[in-house]
Amino acid sequence: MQPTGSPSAQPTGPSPEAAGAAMLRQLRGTLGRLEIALGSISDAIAWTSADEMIEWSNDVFDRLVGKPRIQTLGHRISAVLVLEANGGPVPAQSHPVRLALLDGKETSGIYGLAGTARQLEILARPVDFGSGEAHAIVTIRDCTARQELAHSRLLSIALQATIDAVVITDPQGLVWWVNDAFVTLAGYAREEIYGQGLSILRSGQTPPETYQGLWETILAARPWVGRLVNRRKDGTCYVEKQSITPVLGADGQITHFVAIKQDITQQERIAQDLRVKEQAIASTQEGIVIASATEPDQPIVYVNPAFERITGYSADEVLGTNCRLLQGPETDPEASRKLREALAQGLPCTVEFANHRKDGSPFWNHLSVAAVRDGKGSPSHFIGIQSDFTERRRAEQEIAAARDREVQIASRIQQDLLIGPRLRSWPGLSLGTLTIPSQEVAGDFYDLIEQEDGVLDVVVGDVMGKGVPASLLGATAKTKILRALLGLQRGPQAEAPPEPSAIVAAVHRAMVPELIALECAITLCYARIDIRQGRLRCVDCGHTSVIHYRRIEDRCVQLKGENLPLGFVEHADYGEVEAALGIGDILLFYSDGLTEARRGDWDFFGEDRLETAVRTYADLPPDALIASIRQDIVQFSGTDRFTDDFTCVAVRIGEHASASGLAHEVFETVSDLDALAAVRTAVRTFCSEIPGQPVPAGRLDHVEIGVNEAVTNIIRHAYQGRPGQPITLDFHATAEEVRIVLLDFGQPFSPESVAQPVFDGTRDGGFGVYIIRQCFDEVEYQRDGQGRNRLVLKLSLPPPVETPQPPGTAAS
Amino acid sequence: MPLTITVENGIAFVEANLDALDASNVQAFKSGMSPVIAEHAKVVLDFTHVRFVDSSGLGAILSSMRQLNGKGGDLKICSVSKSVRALFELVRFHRILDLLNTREEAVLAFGQ
Repeated sequence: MQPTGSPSAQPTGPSPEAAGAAMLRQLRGTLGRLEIALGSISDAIAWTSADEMIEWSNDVFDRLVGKPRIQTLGHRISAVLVLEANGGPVPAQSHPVRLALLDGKETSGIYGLAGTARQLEILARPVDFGSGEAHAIVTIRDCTARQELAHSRLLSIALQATIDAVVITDPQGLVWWVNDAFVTLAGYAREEIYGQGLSILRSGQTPPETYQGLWETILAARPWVGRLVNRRKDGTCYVEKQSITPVLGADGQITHFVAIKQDITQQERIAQDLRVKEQAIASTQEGIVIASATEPDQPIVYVNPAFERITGYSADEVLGTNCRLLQGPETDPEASRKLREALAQGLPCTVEFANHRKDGSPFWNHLSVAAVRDGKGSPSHFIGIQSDFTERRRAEQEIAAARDREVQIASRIQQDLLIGPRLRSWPGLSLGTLTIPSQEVAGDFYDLIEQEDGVLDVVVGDVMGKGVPASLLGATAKTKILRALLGLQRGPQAEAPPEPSAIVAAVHRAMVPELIALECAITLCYARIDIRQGRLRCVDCGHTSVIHYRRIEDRCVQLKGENLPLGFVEHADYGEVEAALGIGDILLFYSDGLTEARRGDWDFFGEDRLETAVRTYADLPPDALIASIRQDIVQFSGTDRFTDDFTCVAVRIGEHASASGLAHEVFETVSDLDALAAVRTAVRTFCSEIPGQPVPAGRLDHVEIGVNEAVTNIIRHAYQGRPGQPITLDFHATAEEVRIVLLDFGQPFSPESVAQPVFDGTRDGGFGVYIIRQCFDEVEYQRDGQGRNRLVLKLSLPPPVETPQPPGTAAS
Repeated sequence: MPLTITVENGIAFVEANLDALDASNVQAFKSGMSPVIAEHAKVVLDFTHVRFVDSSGLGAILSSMRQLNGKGGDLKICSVSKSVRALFELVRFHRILDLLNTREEAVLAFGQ
């Protein structure tokens, strides 16, 4: 501006044309500058008419859409600025310019530019240039870079957040970036690892060829996946599964490697554990079977090879079936029931029972079953562990059999060495004996020593202790008694038998050193029955009392001495106790096996009960008396298996020089068909040797066959073929008759069951009973009160005046 | 089983070398007899040595006899001791079975 005081500065007053032209010039200049300004800003700008036709755009817009202005001005903007959103084209009606015009307000959004990867931030705003007509101004900013940045931030967050360790290296393998998981995994801080090669992680446990393959692969721009054992900073090793992906630049050169590492140490350990367990299960000798507890009928879901070997079934054959397919005819139903019940309650259970292999053969199965429980504690599976103990069982049975044989041998020893002679009668006496060896070998012994007419010594003893040593000591004692007797008889008093007290003292002297050495003792009762004098003398050395039933008073007295058992002290004198004997009196010698038979823990049969029993059965013959006592004891204790030896000798006092008969003989045998010959011999011997009155030969044949048939019937029917059962034959001859009594403990005989014999040869059997009846004059059968069959066969003899025919001559 | 078997003129002679025929050996006797019965129709039991027979022995003899009768043959017993005869008579055995004194008599009996 010119200063106002200077005339030259005075406006000369331009012409209006000139002024208008100057204004226009000025205006154009402004417009031009505006255009340049609009063109120079980085945003693309355009405006459109109300019908979306482009009326103006700046250079940036033209470059953006890639078209000269000539092709854009006057064209619909949606056709020029073609947009994409959400992966698809934006239709014309949703174009932001349309939306701005329609709504009359600003619309903005980020769109993709069709055909490019560029992201555009578009702002469309309706404007009124004053013409009253709506226009839209659209400004477009290329935000591709910013979007990408956001994207990569997101990815980097994701990489950071992933559990897997991520490492990005340069093409040389030097670390460029790692995520937190890597830091955690490898234990190196970022500043320690950045710029380093990953070889610092090497543990030396990965084979070199793995690394070689790795590098060959990734340098060929191919991804590599593999397993490495690496070492942490702290020296511990871990197993990782690693994938390495080469990243290629625009020129196809490798720019980076991205490695993703997964720590699979734990996983491998679990897998290894599982493998070990599987191998263990597969290689064990025990059969293992797993069944589902939740499916119907509890099907087998697994069996190991040992199961297949033991049972003979392959896994394929048993999977899906129930374990009971192993059970069969030999299986104890009680054991299967126990197993079933335990399983139903989910309780563990062990049973030993016979199972069957596929081929049907039985085997002994020791089976333990337990429930496998799920997280809630209810059974999901059952696991059964079984072992075949057939061999062990066989061995056990063999051992048991060997033991039984040993016991049998021992009891044979006992029977043969310790038990006295089977003397049944002695002039003026009748005797009964019973010995039942206990399961173990023990040392009870007895002996009957026939001194002279009318004098019988009865010795009963018990070695304290059990087993073979006790029984051998018992046998020794018996020998020593006999030896003592012999030694004393050679002495000055040779005429009369030695005194009982002298005998016992001699036995004691002979045995005391070994008894003391063995810390053992023997209880003994040495009794002498003298019926000529009607006197009993008894040396009792700590043995059970002698029960003496006195007929005349009908009561029992216990005879007991005061001597110590043999072997207690080195020097001892032995005193005797005495009792008077009367006809019909009974003496019972017994071992403590009788009185100590127990009911429960503390209730013993005892001497009082034994006394009562003797008195009750006093009228029975001694054999029957003992059998009845035994019956009482069995009933009392509830068992016929005695824990101690059961030894019993009963003596009934008769008249001396007995008038009771011409002959009496007791023959004992067992239920064995091979014993029949001996029975027949006994019959013939007894019958032909009756003093002064032998049975005539013709009748003897009948007696022989009749007794033979009776014994055969006892063996076959009463004992039903069981061998070794006792049969007693009691022969008794008087001037009038021969009476044979057969006693057995078998099944009762029912005469009605015997069929009548048929004589036409059509039947083989049925003659036995007929023959017996034909052979004897009288046949009586009864079941006696002691559970015995008692068959009495009587043969009437011809009057003694008749001269008997000598044996062997024929009777017609 | 001590049974001595000889065959003469189509007749089998079975000599029982037993002291007794009873329940203890009757099974053995039966098994000894069965091949003889299978092969021959005419059989003579020679009981020279047998001193005793019981009812089961009797049954075995009866059974042999029935089998032979069944195939048209017959059984005869010779040389029966007195005591055995006593039993046979007791069960009327002599009525259904020929008891002969000697082998020769038995052969003759077959000839009839």
